[in-house]
Amino acid sequence: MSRRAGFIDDQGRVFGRINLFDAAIGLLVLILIPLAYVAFLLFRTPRPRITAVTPAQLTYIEDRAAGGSDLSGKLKVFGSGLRPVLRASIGTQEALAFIFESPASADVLFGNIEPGTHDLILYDGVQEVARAPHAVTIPPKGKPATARVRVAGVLIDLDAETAKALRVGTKYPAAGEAESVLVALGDVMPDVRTLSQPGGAVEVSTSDRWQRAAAFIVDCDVSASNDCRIGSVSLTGVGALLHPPGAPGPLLLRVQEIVPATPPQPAQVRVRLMGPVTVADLVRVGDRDESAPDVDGRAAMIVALNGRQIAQGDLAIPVGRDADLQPVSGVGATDRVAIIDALMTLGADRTSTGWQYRSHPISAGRPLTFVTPRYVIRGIVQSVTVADAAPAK
Amino acid sequence: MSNDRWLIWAVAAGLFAGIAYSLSPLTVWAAVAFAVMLRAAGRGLSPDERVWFVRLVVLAFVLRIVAVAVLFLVSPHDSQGSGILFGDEAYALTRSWRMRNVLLGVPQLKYDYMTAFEGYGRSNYLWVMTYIQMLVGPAPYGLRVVNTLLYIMAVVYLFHLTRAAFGPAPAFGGLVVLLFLPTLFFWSISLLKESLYFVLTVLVLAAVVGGVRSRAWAVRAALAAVVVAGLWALRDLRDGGVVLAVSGLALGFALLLITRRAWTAGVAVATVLLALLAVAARPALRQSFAERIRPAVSAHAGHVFTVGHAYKLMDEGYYVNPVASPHEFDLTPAESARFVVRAVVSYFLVPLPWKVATNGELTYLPEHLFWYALILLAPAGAIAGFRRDPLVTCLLIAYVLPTAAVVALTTGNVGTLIRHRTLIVPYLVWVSAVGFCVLMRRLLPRDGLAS
Repeated sequence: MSRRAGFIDDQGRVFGRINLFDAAIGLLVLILIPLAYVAFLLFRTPRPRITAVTPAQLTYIEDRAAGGSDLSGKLKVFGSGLRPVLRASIGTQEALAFIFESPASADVLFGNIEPGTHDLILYDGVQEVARAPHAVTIPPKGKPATARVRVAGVLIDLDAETAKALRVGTKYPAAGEAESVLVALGDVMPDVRTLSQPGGAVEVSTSDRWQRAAAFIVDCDVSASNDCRIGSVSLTGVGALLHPPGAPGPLLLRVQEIVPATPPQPAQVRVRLMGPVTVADLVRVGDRDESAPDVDGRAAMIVALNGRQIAQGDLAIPVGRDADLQPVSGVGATDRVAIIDALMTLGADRTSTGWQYRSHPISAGRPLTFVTPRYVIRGIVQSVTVADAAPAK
Repeated sequence: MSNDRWLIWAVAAGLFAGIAYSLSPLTVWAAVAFAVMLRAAGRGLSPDERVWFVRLVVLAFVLRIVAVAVLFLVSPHDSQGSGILFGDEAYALTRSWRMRNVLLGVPQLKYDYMTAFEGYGRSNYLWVMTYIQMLVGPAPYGLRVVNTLLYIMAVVYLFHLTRAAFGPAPAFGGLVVLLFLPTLFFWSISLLKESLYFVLTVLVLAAVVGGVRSRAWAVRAALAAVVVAGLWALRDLRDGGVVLAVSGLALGFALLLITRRAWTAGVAVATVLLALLAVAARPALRQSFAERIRPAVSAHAGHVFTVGHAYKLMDEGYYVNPVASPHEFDLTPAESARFVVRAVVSYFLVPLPWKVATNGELTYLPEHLFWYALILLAPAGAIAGFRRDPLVTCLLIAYVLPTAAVVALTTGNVGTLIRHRTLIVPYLVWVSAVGFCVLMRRLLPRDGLAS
């Protein structure tokens, strides 16, 4: 008998007992059942399940993930079977980000969601894969914390008529509760614009337009850290353009400084100014510090000069700037340096840590920079005397 | 074989192929491509060589498949950490999934779109991963097999190049090292861009050698097109990838030209010495040298202040400010010279075996000793290799010099140095293998060699 006959006989039966077709099916089933079970265990995608949702503290890291969107909160989602590219929504509104940590936990970042109780829903593409009913509670929004500030800057792009018609004390809007008050005005000047470029900035004149230095009292939203916002405008941003709240159409303030709305305390400050002799020769009694617009009610003015001395000193000039605008090197030389004791009057604001002149703390030993169109000179504060003021804490 | 057996084997093979394709279609396609590559790569070898070549390459491929399978079995599936060997893998993989979702129109959140298209880490490799997964679906393990295939292809290219240049013994020596050296083994199965970078740089090198050697203009034109395409693909795979490759090739040809005659070599050495003397003698040149290496100094200092085992190249007083800007590293010309010398020495020696600081470095120690052996054998290999095939020897040596210089001057972390130093091993190993063969020929008695 041939091997073929021994394995499959003439009737097509394996070993003369089982039909070949039946044997194949049986074998297939025997192999496939354990194979299918093993494959199921290995390859099944566990269905995401949410077991807990808790609010979590926002940190600066989440700001990056939000990519400039308004970020209102963060949820910590615990469960099982979570995956990296799931999509989350809170009620009917999409979250900003679903940030996977592990199959057991993830973060959900969200923006402005209506107050109330919402479901947290996870999707795989368009398919809902998990839902935590009533897991997210958004409290009603309270009125944001505000602070009253004096915003100083330059009203730009004015036509001649509007520029001349401005009056100190004007409230905006004209009727009803004032949203901003014009409290100081400078002279009418031809409008100029500053154009920034990699090496610095240039100023160009506009034709037939006018500008005026001005200061407004306004309320701004200070609920965000280190920021003071009116609508979408951050007053702490460099060169921010503010439409004074309630003001009629054409008014646009290029913000240069914000200071407290409360009047400053008059202060006398003794400063030891130091600089090259030629610069010190330019310093005069009556000079005013123009490092900020002279409409903030705080500008320092020199009222007396004495004790001029000449000494040998080191003068250094930074040269060049790198990408971070840091000086890359410097040149220095020994030169004659003038030392002058100046008595100044200025408006000081009380802070929780002492007195402040504009945006700089002011106390004995601190540096002070005095800027005029003709010169810049630096000095060390010797003493600060504030009229009728309790000692700063 | 009887018809029955054929039938049974055919059914079993079909069943296996079906199951394998269901599990990982990409692995099946990669296996088919591997078989085609192996068949093509075996041509031109003697029967004995072909047997060993096939055994080694198949063993290397199978071992890697097994390693990937182990990773699959020990990893929690559907997790960002599934089978992750290196930290950057998870980022590249999930980013490619997000890019795939964008292309497929699958809804995502804003964060997913941002991550998919952010500038950080952007490279052609991500698109390669994305398009492959467009075809076969998410394939965290299949992509490892593809990278394995790319790596082995690159090694086989180099094997053929060096076999023709130096003979079978050094070629097989290099082949064994590159297929089974542990660090390269794990790199080759990773989801990092290293395999693609390796195969592209090898493609450019092999095409340049082929173009120089070919006499047919049509072949030269085709190979020139391959070089251009290879460089184009390299352009954003690694910072300065094209510059490193082109400067390496240019340096190789320069080396070839100046070593062609004794007098050209003499003139070249004299020119270099004169240039060094000029820099040493002229304050302006010394200062210019110091300023030119300042960015490298700054990058090095940044590495030193990162987490991990650091090593220092500057004088101690400069390691003060962890966030210093480049202008703070105002090294004098003498300090700059010391920095460069220490960089070169450290590149070859760090970590010193008696200064091993972490368990990772201890695990790496055997391979580190092997690295020392490669370095020691390289000079003898370079001389012998130059006698046998100056073009290939010069290109192999010079191809890695720009990369080595950049890594030596900018690194200050032992782990980073080891990782980036491995980039030059696939080229250096063939030169060292020639050196090893020369050494063996000197050490072993002639009878031993004959046997």
